[in-house]
Amino acid sequence: MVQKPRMCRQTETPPRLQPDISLSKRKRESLRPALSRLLPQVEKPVRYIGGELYASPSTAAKSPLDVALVYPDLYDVGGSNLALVILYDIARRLPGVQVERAYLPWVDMISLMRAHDLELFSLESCVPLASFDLIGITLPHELAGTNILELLDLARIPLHADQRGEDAPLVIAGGPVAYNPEPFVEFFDALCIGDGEEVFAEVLTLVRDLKQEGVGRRQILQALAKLPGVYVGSQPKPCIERRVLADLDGYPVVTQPCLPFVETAQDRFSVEILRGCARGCRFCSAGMLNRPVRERSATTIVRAVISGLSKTGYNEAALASLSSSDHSQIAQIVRRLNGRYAESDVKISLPSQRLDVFGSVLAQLTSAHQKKGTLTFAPEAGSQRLRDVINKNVSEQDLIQAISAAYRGGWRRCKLYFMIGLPTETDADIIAIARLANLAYDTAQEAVPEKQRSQVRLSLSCAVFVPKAHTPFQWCGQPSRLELDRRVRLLRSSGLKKRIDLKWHDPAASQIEAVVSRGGRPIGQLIEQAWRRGARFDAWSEQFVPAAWHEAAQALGLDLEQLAGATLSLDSPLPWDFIDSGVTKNFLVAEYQRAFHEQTRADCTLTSCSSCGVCQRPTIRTRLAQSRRDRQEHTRQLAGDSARTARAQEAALEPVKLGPPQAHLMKANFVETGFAASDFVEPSTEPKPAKSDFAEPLS
Amino acid sequence: MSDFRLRINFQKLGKLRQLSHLELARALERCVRRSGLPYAISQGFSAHMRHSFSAALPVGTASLDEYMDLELTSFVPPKAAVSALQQVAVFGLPILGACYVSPNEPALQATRCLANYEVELCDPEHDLADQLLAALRSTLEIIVRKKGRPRSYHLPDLLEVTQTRRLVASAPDLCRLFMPITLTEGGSLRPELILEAVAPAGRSLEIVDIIRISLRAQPDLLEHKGEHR
Repeated sequence: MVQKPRMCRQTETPPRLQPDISLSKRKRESLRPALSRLLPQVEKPVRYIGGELYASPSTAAKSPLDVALVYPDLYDVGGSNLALVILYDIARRLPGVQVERAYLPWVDMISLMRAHDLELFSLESCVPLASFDLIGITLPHELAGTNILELLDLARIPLHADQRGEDAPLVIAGGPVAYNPEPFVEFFDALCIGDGEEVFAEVLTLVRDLKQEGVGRRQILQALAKLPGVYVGSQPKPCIERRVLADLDGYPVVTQPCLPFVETAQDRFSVEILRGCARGCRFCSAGMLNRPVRERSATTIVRAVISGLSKTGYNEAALASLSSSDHSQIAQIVRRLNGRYAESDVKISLPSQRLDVFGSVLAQLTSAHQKKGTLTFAPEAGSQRLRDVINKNVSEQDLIQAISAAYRGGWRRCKLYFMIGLPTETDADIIAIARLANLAYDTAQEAVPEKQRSQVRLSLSCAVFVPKAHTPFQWCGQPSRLELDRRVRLLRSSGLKKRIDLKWHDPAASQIEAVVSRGGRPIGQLIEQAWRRGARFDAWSEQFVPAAWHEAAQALGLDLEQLAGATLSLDSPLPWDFIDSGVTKNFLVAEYQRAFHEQTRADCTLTSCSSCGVCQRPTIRTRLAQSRRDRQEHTRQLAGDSARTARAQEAALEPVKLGPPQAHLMKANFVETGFAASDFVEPSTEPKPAKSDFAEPLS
Repeated sequence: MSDFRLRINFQKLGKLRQLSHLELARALERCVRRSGLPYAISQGFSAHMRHSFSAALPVGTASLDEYMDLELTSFVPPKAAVSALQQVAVFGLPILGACYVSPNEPALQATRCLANYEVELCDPEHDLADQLLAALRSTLEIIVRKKGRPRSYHLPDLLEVTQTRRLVASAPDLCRLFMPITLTEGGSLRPELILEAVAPAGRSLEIVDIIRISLRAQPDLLEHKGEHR
């Protein structure tokens, strides 16, 4: 469904103004009596009460360092966030540190809190957030910016780091979006870049010790800026190298996470079975930022699942990662766990599976309730040409085999993810999505017995391409909203079977995502102005107010269409150039150029090194529990040696010859899809690394 | 149906009064899994724990006397079962006791029960309790809006009016009422809805606290009629 544009919300709550911020430290006093009076008036009051099993004890006493971990969205969304589970566990093990959690309340509660002058509180002790020494906020996605301002405002903490007094909490951020910190830098005292396990403990220890010595805020920030992986906006550094947890397998799994009463988005026990993905999809920031691949061993995972399930009482364990079916021992893990829980109501789920290795995992998923849910696959593009451009490395044959195997194996529901607006996309690629979905539906129908054909469900979910920082497509523009709307209409009229359920993302929200994703410091003002005009919960389609963003952009003289749609030249400086994500800029440029030559690049865990630059640092290596190549052989046998794998291997072995870019083709595409030909900047044939390309390995 | 049907008595207290019935059921299911008791699972396509609960408590209502029937695959002495559950129980959902009931016993929700509630309301003028009690005794039919539609109820079917009485409140500006409400399979009304239906015109009720004090099967009630709680 396309969102209807809506007018700015008439504020039903008192106008959002920063209240008089007292310079003295906010007292750690319980707000429980005031909160209790509001609870009968709100939806799902259980979101605000705390008291979960394994949560920190409630106390009014001050500790040497009081830390609040905050997720900038509803409890229902953030309550199961694996990053916060890990960081919470780290903090509660540190001596002299007391950790609590807070979430952004839902709009009904926010209105009541403003009307009754109640400030944002922590769940465990129900004390004001402003009374904490340090507040850690995770930045899960680009649309969370306005929620961060909403929660700072509700907590009565000055929005800007430079306005915070000596006694105000230190507000520190981390998470995937922190890799481009500039749009958020004014709101945070410091941002942590990269894996949080080590740097978070270092930050807490440092702040705790300095606080105990009576050191002032400025000196604390100066000391924080010296920590590797920490960016303090007021203490700029020429280069910030992200932090990497070298040995995931050696890092303990949290088996006693807080157990929410609310049904959360991921209401199950999760074990991160591997971190990183080397498949190299060119639009994917998670795949570029979390390299190298680090696996936990089968024994570690099986032990963690057994221990976690017995301590939490969940009836489901998720083997979580960016691409779970890629784990070198996945079949063994699923087999061992299925054996352990064969006679129980406990289910093991694999949330993220690839089409091309589904066959090898399928054989292990035998119990009926594993097949009850929806299987999701992500071909991402309809045509093989476009899948080669984005380096998806799956073929139509892979999809057909996976669908056929899944429906023959007992599944009845499947969801396919696609993306529209990808670089070089033409109308033919959009029509190919419908064709491929129809083919998948027919395959599913054929795979099930005739009497059960009415049970076959296939749904299509179309996201909009968002150029993300630190990816090969960071230089590419997003098509205009009108153009995206046209492509959605084209898809709907492309003969998609009526029984296939189609959903798509709101292009207006995706445009804001693109603007923030590639934004510099001025985008911070855009976020603030949009928030002041009523924007919040932008990731919730029913709460998203495009008008607030457009008015804010107008007031600041910014053009959202231009910011999201601009194709950047390869040598233009980028706001995130000073962040060393591990992957070199040379690699990104090479991948960008290969994309326009429709050249794929194989996964380095299956073939040879792709020279992305990540493993050039000491101690940082791809760590697999066992070789993936053995398993690849097995997969190929199962999948009938799909053409994809062979092609990927050939691509990896052949040195790429970059001829002149196929500009004529691309320009023609742009005209066809409504782009102005002048929007296109030709990639130079000889990429010149930017000066800031510090990530170049020293050889 | 399993031969071992363990009836567990528990409470819903403090902050956890804000749990909905589904959230409560989920929290107790997890408690049972953590305890390691040999619970039975259904044999259907989607296996789940075999259990049932007494009448659902509304969000915001605490209870001192709740029941859950849990089917076990083997006999565990009730004391050992209670001890296993208590060790892993969440603070706010304490386990009080357990006993085995016959597998032929009707389901908890199908039993006609009497639920005794205590309701505490703001009463700054110290006249509300008397007005409400008088109204409850003199009214036969009440109109309550359910799902937006007005519905008429015969009050003596819902409330043991003769036993409804005033109790000592916890603060000077509050009043506290004792209300025995009949729960049948056909449904019942929450105490606050009954009070709102008979409240003096133009007066809005500010309810401070609602607790389900006890839950008795109806035959039980006959034996204990007139007995002070």
